[in-house]
Amino acid sequence: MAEEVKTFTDSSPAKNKEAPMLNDTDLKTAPLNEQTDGGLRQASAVQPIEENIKDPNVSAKPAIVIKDLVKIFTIGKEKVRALAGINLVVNQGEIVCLLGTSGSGKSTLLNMMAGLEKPTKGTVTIYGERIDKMSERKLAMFRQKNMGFVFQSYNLLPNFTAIDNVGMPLAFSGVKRKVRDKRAKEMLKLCGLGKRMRHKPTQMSGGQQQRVGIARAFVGKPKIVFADEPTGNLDTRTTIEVMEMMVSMSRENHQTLVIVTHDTEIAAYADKIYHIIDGVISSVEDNTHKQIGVGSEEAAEIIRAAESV
Amino acid sequence: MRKTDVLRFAGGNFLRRKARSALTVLGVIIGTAAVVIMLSIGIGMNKGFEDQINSYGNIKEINVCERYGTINEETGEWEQNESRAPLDDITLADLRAIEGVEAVTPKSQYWGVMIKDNKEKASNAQIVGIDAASMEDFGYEILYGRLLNESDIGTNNFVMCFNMPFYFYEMRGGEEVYWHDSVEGEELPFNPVGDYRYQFTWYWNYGTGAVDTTRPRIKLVDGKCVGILAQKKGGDYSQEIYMDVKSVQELQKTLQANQDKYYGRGDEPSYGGVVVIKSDRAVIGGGISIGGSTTSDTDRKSIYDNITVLAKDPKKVQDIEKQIQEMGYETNSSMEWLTQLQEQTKFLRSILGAIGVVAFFVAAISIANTMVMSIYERTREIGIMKVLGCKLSDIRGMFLIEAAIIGFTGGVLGVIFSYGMSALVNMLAGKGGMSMMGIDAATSNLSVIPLWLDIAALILATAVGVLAGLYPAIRATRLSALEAIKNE
Ligand SMILES: Nc1ncnc2c1ncn2[C@@H]1O[C@H](COP(=O)(O)OP(=O)(O)OP(=O)(O)O)[C@@H](O)[C@H]1O
Ligand SMILES: [Mg+2]
Repeated sequence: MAEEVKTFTDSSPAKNKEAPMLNDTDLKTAPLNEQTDGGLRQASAVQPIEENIKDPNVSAKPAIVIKDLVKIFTIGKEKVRALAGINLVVNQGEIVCLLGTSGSGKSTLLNMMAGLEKPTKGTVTIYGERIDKMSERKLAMFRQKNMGFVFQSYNLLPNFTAIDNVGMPLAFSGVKRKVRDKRAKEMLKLCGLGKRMRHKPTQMSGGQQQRVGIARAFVGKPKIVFADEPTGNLDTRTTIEVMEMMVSMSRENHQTLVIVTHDTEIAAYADKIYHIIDGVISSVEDNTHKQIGVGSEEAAEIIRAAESV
Repeated sequence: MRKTDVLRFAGGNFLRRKARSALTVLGVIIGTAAVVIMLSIGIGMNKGFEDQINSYGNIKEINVCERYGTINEETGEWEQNESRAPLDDITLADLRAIEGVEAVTPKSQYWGVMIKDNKEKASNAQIVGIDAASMEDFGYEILYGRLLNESDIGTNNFVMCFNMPFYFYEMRGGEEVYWHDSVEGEELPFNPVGDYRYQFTWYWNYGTGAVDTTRPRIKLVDGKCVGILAQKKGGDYSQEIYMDVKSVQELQKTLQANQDKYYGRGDEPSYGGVVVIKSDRAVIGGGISIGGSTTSDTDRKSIYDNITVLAKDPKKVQDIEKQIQEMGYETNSSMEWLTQLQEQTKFLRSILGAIGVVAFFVAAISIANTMVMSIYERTREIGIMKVLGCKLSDIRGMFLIEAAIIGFTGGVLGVIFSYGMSALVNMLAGKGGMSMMGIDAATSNLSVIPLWLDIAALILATAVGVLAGLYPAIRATRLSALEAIKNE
């Protein structure tokens, strides 16, 4: 097992100094589900974090590299330590879940990965570029090109139709209206909203809105999609639907998916689960073998259990 | 983002909040209309002065006469000039040489009596001698016949002013058929250009009293009417007829000699011409006296009553006047009067302008307010856009364009609205028979909107919109995306 476990706070300076940019050949040589580690590794909180982070596949290319990330919020004289030294690596094509109780710092971590918030200390590197050091201008461009977002409260623009909402990221990156409308329609059909394309958010149910949200996040084929409690406002059946939709889409396009949740059932869809307690990663769980597959019997079981109540 | 998309987003926002957009636009409409109306009244007033003064005399004309003397400013005593610069042909050439001078004509006047077909006569005909060749340059407007030209030099051909035919009356009938000033639009009693015999004389009672046969015969000199001028705006009050200057002098000499012979007088000089007293500069100028001597350093003598100089540009008039005064002559012009009038109303006009500017300022604040409100309302929307990778410059662009749309729409409607208001102002001013600052509301509009004012107002309204949108637009880009998407 020794050669499988590699730490990212490795003392050798050459490693992880610069995360290499991803290219197509790398992706092909890094099959996603092929993981060597077997079973669940339930780590205790006392264990040093380094040992919990492992890179099971040496050929997998890191997409997001986070080092010694600390975030301290100062409100008046009070200081809130939202993150207290996070180290993690998310590889391209990986589906990762940040799991923790309310207030543990999951959202804060996600926001910093997306460059929405500046860290107090530490670095966030995506495809070799330091997100934490980027100007707002560059960040906007970077997000346009590489990131998609799914929010708990959907965050659709209320005055735009589903098509316009989905096409919005494309509009921001300068895609012609005709082209983006076509792609938005395709995306909406894929999400099962073929009949809701000209509806405005208020004319749709929460589940439908979230599916529009997902269509919007994936329409530009971003390399990374961030989702903060994407099913927080949905019932169990819809939760499973939405989760399966996101997972299958990102699998299909080899996209990295980072999901924040406090729900272990959602976490079950991930390849890797980071347990976060009080701003630190208490343990990392390799979930590949226990993972719920899309459209699997387990998913159906969860729905049955929830609806029988 | 594509420019068309930025525009579409901005336009969408403008149209979404219809009531608020409409109210903001209304503010701009009022602001624009206020500026346009206030300035148009200022412009109208100036134009009214110009029209008014133009109806008395061309504002490009400068009247030049001799300088008789000055009033000593300390003692208030009249001081006669020892020698005076004369008005002769050399002067004419000198005046023509001044830069910006279009044309120059000498003038000699003779008040005579005019007889038509030995049946009707007009007393008080002011026979004005001018340079026949330059009559066209001076912008006289012909109604029938033609203006004088080179071919009329040395002849007794003349052109009448429009008012003149109204002054003829029956000599013997006792019934005065025509004997009044023409009002605007009045028809001529007869077309004077025709096969009539016109004669000039000095004897004012000609044809009405018994003839004293013991005295020498009263002389009549023939003349031919070749044209009549169009009526001046606002009615005509002059009794002028125009003839070649040398011919008038000849006519004057002949009739004067006959008059003197009739009364058995010697060669006493009789005074002619006009005396102008100008209080502002304490100068007295005047015309020559026939037969009298004009003192001068050289042997030159004044041969004309006065000289009229036509400037190419009204703006150059006062400049040219100054140069002529430096040559030792006295000058006066309508322009001088016009500038005085305009100077007097400058204060009023600037107050009108200030009212307009204040209205515009209020409109600008209203735009800024609307945009700031819009940001509060759309904080979340802006945040989402930022998270989705919308560039800051595009967000700024959306707000600026929305503000510009408000400004432009308000500007266009404001200009249209101001035309209505302007018509209303003119109607009210005309109806009330209001004559403001000596402007006759019947002939001149109180409010005049030139095209440049429309264009300027439009540009200004749009620019003010953009300027007012600048702060909100920058604020929008400064919004924290995270805070924005967090607030529910
Ligand atoms: N802008 C902020 N200012 C001050 N404190 C903050 C701010 N954002 C988060 N925090 C604090 O940081 C800690 C972590 O917050 P975070 O939102 O990351 O929690 P979370 O794990 O996402 O919780 P939940 O599941 O309820 O969303 C909390 O204690 C919170 O009070
Ligand atoms: Mg959270």
